[in-house]
Amino acid sequence: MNHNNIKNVVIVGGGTAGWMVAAALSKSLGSQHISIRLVESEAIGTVGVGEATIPHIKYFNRLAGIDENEFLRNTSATFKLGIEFVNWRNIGDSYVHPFGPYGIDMQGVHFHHTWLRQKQKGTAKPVDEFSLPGLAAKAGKFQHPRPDLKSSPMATMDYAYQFDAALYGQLMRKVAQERGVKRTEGKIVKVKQNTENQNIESIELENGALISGDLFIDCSGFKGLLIEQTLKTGYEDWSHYLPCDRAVTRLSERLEELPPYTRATAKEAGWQWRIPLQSRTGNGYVYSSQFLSDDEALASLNKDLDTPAIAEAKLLRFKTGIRKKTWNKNVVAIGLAAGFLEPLESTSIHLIQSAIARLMTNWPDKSFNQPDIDYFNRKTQTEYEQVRDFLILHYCATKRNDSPFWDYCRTMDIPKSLEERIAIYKENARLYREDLELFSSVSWFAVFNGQNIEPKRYHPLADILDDEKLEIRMAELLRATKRCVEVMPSHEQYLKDLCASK
Amino acid sequence: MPDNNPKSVLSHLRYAYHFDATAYAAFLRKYAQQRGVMRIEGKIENVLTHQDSGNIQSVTLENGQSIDADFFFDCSGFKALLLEKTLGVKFTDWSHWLPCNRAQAVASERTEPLLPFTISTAKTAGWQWRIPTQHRTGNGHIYCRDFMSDDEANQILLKGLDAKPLGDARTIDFQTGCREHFWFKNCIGLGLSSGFLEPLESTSIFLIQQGIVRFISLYPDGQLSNVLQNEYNRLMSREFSQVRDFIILHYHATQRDDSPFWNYCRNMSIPHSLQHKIDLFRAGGRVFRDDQELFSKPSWIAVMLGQHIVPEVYDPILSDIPKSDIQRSLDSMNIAMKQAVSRLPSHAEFINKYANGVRT
Ligand SMILES: Cc1cc2nc3c(=O)[nH]c(=O)nc-3n(C[C@H](O)[C@H](O)[C@H](O)COP(=O)(O)OP(=O)(O)OC[C@H]3O[C@@H](n4cnc5c(N)ncnc54)[C@H](O)[C@@H]3O)c2cc1C
Ligand SMILES: Cc1cc2nc3c(=O)[nH]c(=O)nc-3n(C[C@H](O)[C@H](O)[C@H](O)COP(=O)(O)OP(=O)(O)OC[C@H]3O[C@@H](n4cnc5c(N)ncnc54)[C@H](O)[C@@H]3O)c2cc1C
Repeated sequence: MNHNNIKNVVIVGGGTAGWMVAAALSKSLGSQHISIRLVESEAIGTVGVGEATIPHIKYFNRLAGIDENEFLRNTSATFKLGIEFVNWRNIGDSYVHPFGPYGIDMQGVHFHHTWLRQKQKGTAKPVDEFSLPGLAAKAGKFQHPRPDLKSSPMATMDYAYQFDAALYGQLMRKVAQERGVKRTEGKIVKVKQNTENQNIESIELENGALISGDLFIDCSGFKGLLIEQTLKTGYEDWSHYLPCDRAVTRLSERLEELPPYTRATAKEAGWQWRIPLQSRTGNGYVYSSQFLSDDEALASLNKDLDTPAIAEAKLLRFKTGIRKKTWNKNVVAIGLAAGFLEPLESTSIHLIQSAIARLMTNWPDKSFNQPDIDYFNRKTQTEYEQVRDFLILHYCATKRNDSPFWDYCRTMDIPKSLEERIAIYKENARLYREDLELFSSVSWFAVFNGQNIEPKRYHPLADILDDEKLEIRMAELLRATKRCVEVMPSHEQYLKDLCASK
Repeated sequence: MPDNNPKSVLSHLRYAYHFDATAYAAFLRKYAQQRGVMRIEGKIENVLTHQDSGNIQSVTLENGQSIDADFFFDCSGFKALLLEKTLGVKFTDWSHWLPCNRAQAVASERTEPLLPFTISTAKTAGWQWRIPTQHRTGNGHIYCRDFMSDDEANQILLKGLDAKPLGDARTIDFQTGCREHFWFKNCIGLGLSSGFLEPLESTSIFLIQQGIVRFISLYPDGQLSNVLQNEYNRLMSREFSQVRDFIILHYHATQRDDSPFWNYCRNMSIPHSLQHKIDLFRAGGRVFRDDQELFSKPSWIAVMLGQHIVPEVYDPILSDIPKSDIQRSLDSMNIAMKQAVSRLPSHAEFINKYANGVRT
């Protein structure tokens, strides 16, 4: 065995990020030859939000060896078929960003070209009606996809979850501890670095205990205890693109018929989420403190709750951006310590998951090979930038002019990468740019179209069908999609049955 | 043929073809003409451009016939009749990284057994290909004329044949590199007019194909938006540089010091993008496929290991698995592959049956 192998991993922080890392590492590395220790402080606590996810979470749960029913019962989870965006392009408008494709691709071009052709002819139905997850979401229905039903929209629909973040953390903790992860309670007060290479050697707790390690995973939340406070890595600020910097959150009673989707409603100086769980509803107003006071935000949040509040409101401050290096020396920052992108598309937990996967493929030894680290950092940066661009699109492609906040967003400078992407879509409705992007071309289309960006033209291949055949095919698709929704059980009932079963 | 059953080792099999390029072009010509493509025989003597836009307006043939169009594809080969001669698009020279600049090619008689792979043999100042087709074997010696005379190159070519040559060798000059723009004004260059990378990994036809696919997906209208043009150029120049790096790797990662040519290649500076890939592999055996890159992980591993770039350590993730377990699973993979191979028909048998309509 290589004496240079990492033998001691220390995870700093026991929020969602810390325990996800602990669960995944203990599952993949075992605990025979490697010791994994997690340090957390109950006195400091966790950020306590983070309830909505995207479909990739299913892979993570599978990797961690979690049974879906057990997960649903233990985390108060509901199914999520997409996000409804209300009042984003204009007050009164709404659209769904669904998990799964619209219609089916015809004549070798993406479905949206065919739909755009119909739209230009003036015969198109709203594109939401071609999306099974979109329609089912609004109808309050759910069932698992049926990949066995080949040409049915049931085969290609996808889903994610909405869950109680604290309970999910506990589930991860159970998984990790069963696999040998050791947990230490205590507040870290001091960090010791190697005098030569500045690597972290050990951390010291309030009670004087010393914990040393070869590799430190910094999951200490916004402050970045190791990556920033100790290593002074620096932070790239993106708040000129995404000016929201605060959130006021509040739990309210459970919704009566559980909707299988998250709602994001644009407001005067930001937006408000509504995330339905089995036990309660999560709510939060994400806003820009430049344009709105905390008191105004709280009043506005309270006014827009759909059910009576059941807890005090909580205020959170953040700065959108990314750590200049998420891996620096022998410290890898994951979760809020790595960077922050607002939860508009529920991406933070996914970014944790993806950082874990990247760490596993680039698993270091004690020499901490710099090209591997550079690669890791480059990929993290690209991933955050791609999500960032997608979020900005929701803000900049708006017609709203009812508040200084929206005037800013509508007219602000946007990254060149996004500018080019919008220009290409406007020109000929082409969506696809890079491989390995988190959001598929379907997601980009959902938001482009939802925000009313009109392409000049569609792909000429979509013209191959003659008019009459086109209308027939599209009508068939609409009928098939509708029929699927009709036969689906209600989300409420489906969940009840699943959670009752073993 | 690859097996559809994902559990079978044969499901991982991938293949391409060796073929007669002239016959393939004739096949495509028939295909295109049946679908309405009009062919005009004649030599282009003159090209007319619009005064304001600089776009190409028409080409004029020797016999005076003039042909107008909205859009032109320049497939005129190395000379790049439209892209370079008319529109003045410059060429980016890469010959400091890939110094070979001449080829001599000759066909030879078919030999048995019919091999299902290309052989590329490094020579004193370049390399020689051997490409077996059903009726004959294609051979060519690619070399750098700054390091070798044509006579010597010819002797090497003929000495390297394993059967009688069919005629005299043909000499082809080239320069490695690509156009600064692949799409300029109302013209796209495809094939040799757009750039050249030596056939060491048989990539030229693939690059033509990529250009076509990209064009179809971007499909401009009469206004020829710059947005589409920039995107096309961005994608194609990335494609060319990725292939370039892969080819350079074969030359640079060598231990040969038996000729000035190889001394040059071993010591030359290489693109940063490639250096980074080599560093990652050398340190920990890691290979990452960049966005939409043609060559996949196994390709890079094959050449890195083949050229003796040996990682200093293997992935530490494996360090907890006992050596004997690793050995056992490698052995069983090896046995499964050997067994699968022993059950396959010979290449010649397979072609005989398959080409005659007997599906196996
Ligand atoms: C308003 C808002 C809404 C969000 N909504 C979503 C969403 O819908 N979907 C989604 O995917 N994500 C969402 N997120 C993000 C998500 O909440 C986080 O990504 C997730 O909770 C992970 O947080 P964390 O574990 O990195 O940090 P934290 O939860 O802050 O955990 C930090 C840990 O470090 C420990 N710690 C800190 N300092 C010390 C010390 N000195 N000594 C010992 N221990 C210490 C703490 O005790 C704690 O255990 C949202 C975030 C915000 C702010
Ligand atoms: C030595 C060598 C080996 C190669 N091996 C491989 C390989 O193994 N695999 C691979 O994929 N690729 C290989 N290639 C590349 C491959 O040969 C070319 O990509 C392919 O042949 C395409 O060439 P082309 O059509 O661009 O140009 P050409 O074949 O040169 O065609 C040019 C056409 O333009 C016409 N033309 C030119 N000027 C005029 C004019 N004034 N008026 C009218 N018509 C005109 C010509 O008549 C001709 O029809 C190799 C290339 C070389 C040099």
